[in-house]
Amino acid sequence: MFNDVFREITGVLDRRFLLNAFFPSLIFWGLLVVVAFAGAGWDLVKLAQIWNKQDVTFKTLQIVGCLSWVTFFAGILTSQLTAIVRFYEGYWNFPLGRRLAVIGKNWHQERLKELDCDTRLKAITDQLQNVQTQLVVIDNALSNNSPQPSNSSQNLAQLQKEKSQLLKQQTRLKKQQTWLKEQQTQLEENQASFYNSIYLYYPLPTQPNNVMPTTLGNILKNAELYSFDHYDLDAVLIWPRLYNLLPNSFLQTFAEVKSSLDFMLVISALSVIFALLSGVYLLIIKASGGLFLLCFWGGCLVGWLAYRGALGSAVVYAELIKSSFDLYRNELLKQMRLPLPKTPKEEIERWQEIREFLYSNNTEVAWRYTESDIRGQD
Amino acid sequence: MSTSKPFKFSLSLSQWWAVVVIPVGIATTAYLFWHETQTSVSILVPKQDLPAYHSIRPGDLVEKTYSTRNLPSNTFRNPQEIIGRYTLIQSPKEKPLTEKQLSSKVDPDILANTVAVGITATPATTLGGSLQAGDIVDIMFVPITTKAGSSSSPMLFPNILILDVKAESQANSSSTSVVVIALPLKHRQEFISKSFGATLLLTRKL
Repeated sequence: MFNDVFREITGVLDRRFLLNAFFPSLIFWGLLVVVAFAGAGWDLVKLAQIWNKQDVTFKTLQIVGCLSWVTFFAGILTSQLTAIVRFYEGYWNFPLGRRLAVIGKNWHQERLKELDCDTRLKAITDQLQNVQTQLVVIDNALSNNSPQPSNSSQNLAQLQKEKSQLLKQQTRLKKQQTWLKEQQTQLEENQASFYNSIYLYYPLPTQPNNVMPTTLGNILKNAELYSFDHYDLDAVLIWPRLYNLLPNSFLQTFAEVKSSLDFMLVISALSVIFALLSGVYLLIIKASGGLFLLCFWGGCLVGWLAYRGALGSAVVYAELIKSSFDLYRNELLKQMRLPLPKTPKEEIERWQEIREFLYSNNTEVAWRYTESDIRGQD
Repeated sequence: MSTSKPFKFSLSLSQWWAVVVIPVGIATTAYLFWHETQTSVSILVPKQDLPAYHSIRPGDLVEKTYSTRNLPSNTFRNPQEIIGRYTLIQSPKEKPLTEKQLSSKVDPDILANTVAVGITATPATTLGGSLQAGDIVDIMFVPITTKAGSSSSPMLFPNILILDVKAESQANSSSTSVVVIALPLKHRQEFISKSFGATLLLTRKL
């Protein structure tokens, strides 16, 4: 029965609209109404009985009114999906937001530094070399430190003192050398996992300015910069053109993953808004502490869990964007009747030319359209 | 040159979020619980479930503390207000007693050794709808006069307490009123025997 109704409704309305906006909005407003009455001390069972005793026409009007409001709200939510995603990415252009963005950016930049194996290994190798040089110097000094028969007793005491200092320094440097070697081994062992983390979650360590304040922002930024880092291909410019050439199966997967990401972020946003609204309301009417805790912490927890869920979808979404550039960029060249490049260097030059052509209408580019296509048009 | 990494305190935004949300939740909850205790009152509530038409005695009640927010506006708060009344409906244990649940105050002697009896009432019986719980009335059974003459003289039951007057809605949208009276146990047999084939008259002193 429910399945039939659901199928009928989804036939009329867009399935994605229902799942991503309508049902979350319905639950959001339903919970707000329940909290409003429960907080004011109403017995919910008695309230349901009172409602049920009303005239059928009045009940129908109330249901229609509620559904209309929820649909209207869901419509607004759908139109604001991009804004919601951008907010979770960390594009915060309000006074407190800018401060928070700095905190988030600094934290992620530190984390990126920790993941940057190459730089850290290089630094450790430099330090090791430095320590080894110092050890050689100390070894030489120790060998020259042996007492001679001509030394006076005062000189002997001085030499003994120097030797003991050198030995202390040698012990300290050897400890440091052991520690640095341990760090080096540890880094080498974790190198693959660190590379993978950067590949999935961060812009390249050479681009710390592109680090975003949130994990979601960094995952999507990573996908945005991928094509430029690898092919010098401007994703913002090329993506709308490439998108139309992607095969249907790929587009379907892409739409599903994007829908899953949107759904999780909508749930997260509505949960946090619910936590704040219900929290403030319950505090104003001085409701039960237990109800406040349930609504405030419950909303915040669901919001956080949904955000964590969104990160999984964002990784898959970012992977699909990256793989679409890897797999189908040549289809775009073919569609533009341009010859396929033979080397990576040639490809980078080709995409630079295309960028110049599209952005600044530079027709002085060196390419020639492919012969077969010209003949085909004749 | 140090051999260990310097300790640097740094939190991600998720951790900052938790740092803000957890203390705010604890502080606000503590405040609300404190406020609840400040506005609590001790009231008398039924020790166990009380049946309908039960005359309330001090032993039936127990003291419990409730937040004023959770108390209905018409709750009885003083013991003097409750004792001496009887329940109009079944009253669950440990739930505040409200005006809707209890009758007006009646003389406890008038309820002693009585049974609740329901009488189907007409608008005339309910005195045009003005009859209410707590009223003291006289009930008279007038035998129907036949061609052969009256079978017996009218029978009067004086000083009968009206426990309740209820209008029961029926499926065919008509409603039937029921008057519940507290009949002295000693008059029960007589009441039953006289009620057959007699017209009931209910009178109240003005």
